[in-house]
Amino acid sequence: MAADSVNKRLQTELMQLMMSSTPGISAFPQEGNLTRWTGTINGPEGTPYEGLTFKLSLEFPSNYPMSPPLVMFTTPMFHPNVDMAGRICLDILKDKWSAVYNVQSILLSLQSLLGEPNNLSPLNGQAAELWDSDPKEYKRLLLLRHRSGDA
Amino acid sequence: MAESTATDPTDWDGTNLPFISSLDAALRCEVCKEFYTAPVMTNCCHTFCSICIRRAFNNDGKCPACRTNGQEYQLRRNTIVQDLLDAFLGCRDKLFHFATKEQDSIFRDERESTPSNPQPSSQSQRPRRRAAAAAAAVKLSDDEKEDLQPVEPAPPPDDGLVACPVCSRRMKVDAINAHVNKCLDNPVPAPSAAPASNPALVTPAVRQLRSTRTATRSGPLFERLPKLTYSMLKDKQLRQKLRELGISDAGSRKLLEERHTEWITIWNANADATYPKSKKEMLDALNSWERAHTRPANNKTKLADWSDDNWAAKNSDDFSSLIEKARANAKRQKIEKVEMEPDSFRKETASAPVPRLSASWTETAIGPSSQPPISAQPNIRNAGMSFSPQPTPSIDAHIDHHPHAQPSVLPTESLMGAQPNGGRPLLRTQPSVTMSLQYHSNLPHVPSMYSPPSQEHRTHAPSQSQPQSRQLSSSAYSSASTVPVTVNINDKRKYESVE
Repeated sequence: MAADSVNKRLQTELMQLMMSSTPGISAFPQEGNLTRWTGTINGPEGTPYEGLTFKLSLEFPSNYPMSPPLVMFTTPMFHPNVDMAGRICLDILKDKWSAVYNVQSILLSLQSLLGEPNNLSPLNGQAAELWDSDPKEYKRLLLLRHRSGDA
Repeated sequence: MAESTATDPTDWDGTNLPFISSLDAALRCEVCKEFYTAPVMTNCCHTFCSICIRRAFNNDGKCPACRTNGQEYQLRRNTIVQDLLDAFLGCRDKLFHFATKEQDSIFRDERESTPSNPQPSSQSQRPRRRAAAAAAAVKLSDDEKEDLQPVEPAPPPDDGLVACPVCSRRMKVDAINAHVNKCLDNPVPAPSAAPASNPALVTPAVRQLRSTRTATRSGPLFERLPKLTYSMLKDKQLRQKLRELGISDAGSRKLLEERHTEWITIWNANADATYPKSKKEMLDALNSWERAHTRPANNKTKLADWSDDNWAAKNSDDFSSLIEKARANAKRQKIEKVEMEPDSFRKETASAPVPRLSASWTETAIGPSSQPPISAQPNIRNAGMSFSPQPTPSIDAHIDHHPHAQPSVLPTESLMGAQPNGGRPLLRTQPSVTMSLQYHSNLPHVPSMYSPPSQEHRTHAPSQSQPQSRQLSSSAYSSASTVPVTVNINDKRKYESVE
């Protein structure tokens, strides 16, 4: 797939993201490189993540949108489906990817993943265990992780 | 479509006609997010650009919208979408002009009308206005299109009403939005003014014209090309096929296959187009695909701070010593040969002081003395890894954190570390690259080209600080990360990553 078609599509997505301004999510290309973006999602209300902001990096392959972008949390994350390096286990970023998805739908899916983890196939076993058994400890560890990113 | 490059459905937000946004969006391909180019319909009734859906099918054989399995031969041209698109693009600029420029005048009308205008007057005005428009249209049908503009009443009658941009009917401001929507979807209710004020709307006559033109243009000129079963073809046969198609037959087997696939995709998508491209344009498209396709691998072998000159300067001692040795060697052999060979050969060796047996070697070593010896270089390039004479952080990460890698990579590290000031970099680079490749094949999955290896393998490192979760997290990690390999839709990506 030609590079210009990737760039063109990413430009369109950027324009749409900026014009439609979905609350709670945002994304913008990193300096001078349209194929690497930084995304931000706000923790959804009514979840342990409420009030926290998380940054992500999105890296688009040269045959995007036929292949999914590589998405990672850059803010330290405590979540059953995110490992300690920020790698995310989400089906639509792997085998369930479809060319009709875009940055907006990825960020919205990730936002909802925060509130509804898939505890059956965890990347972070501790988080998966605590999610149901000990919400207080979960929240404490989450805040500890999140604060470690500020330092 | 040149005019559609810089447009977006959100253009309509904040204009007088924000509801056009959904119409605008409906005429765009879900994959490329542009207006359809050669729209085709799948067997699951989803419409995409021909080239987008063909690429998607090549990639994973599934409809991007619903994941139903599909194949290229099931695609059918969706001509009605092309007609709708032509109609919309024909009037988009005018609509947009109206939606933005005329804003002031509409607001002026609104301001003037809303307080003072009673309901009955608007109802009484409408039939009169329609009659006038009908009369105008009748008069117009004989005239040229240039006369269209003056017919629009330049000073709007002070009736507190607004003209519909499509059918020119005048109505209350409150009603205009709903009306324009209806008017655009179905222009028939106002037959009097519609054809005149909106030449882009497709009349049956126009459609007739277009369909005949389509038939003559895309019918015999672009026959669809069959796909090939590459495994049945030998390299030579495949190259022959490429030459027959008029495209390059250079490159590796894998590249040949991919180039052929891409060309078939471009060609067959063009066969679906109402306005097909010329072969030259298609060849340009193929070239731009090829540039994009091969560039990432090349970029990756050079680090951001890499420069040939620095490398040459750093290793200039090695080079000069090598060159000296090579020269000495050449001299010695020359002397030997001169002594041994007959006169006829003496001339030749005198003019070219390079001995025969080692000609290729000495040439590369002596030639441009500032360059690193080329003999070692191509191997590194082909390996497609981020390789540099200095040990890079990514390679360090491989070494430190991957359990499989320990035995085979340790020597690599020591070689790499010794290299910048070591005696003969070119001899040592060779084994180190092979070893890293070996290490790659040990991996449970091939790291994809856009994932920095350092991060990839860091996953194992932090779990040391989390002993209780280590078991679970690493097993889950491996199960998650094997997905790209086990699922065959990612074949392409796998290949790219390896390359």
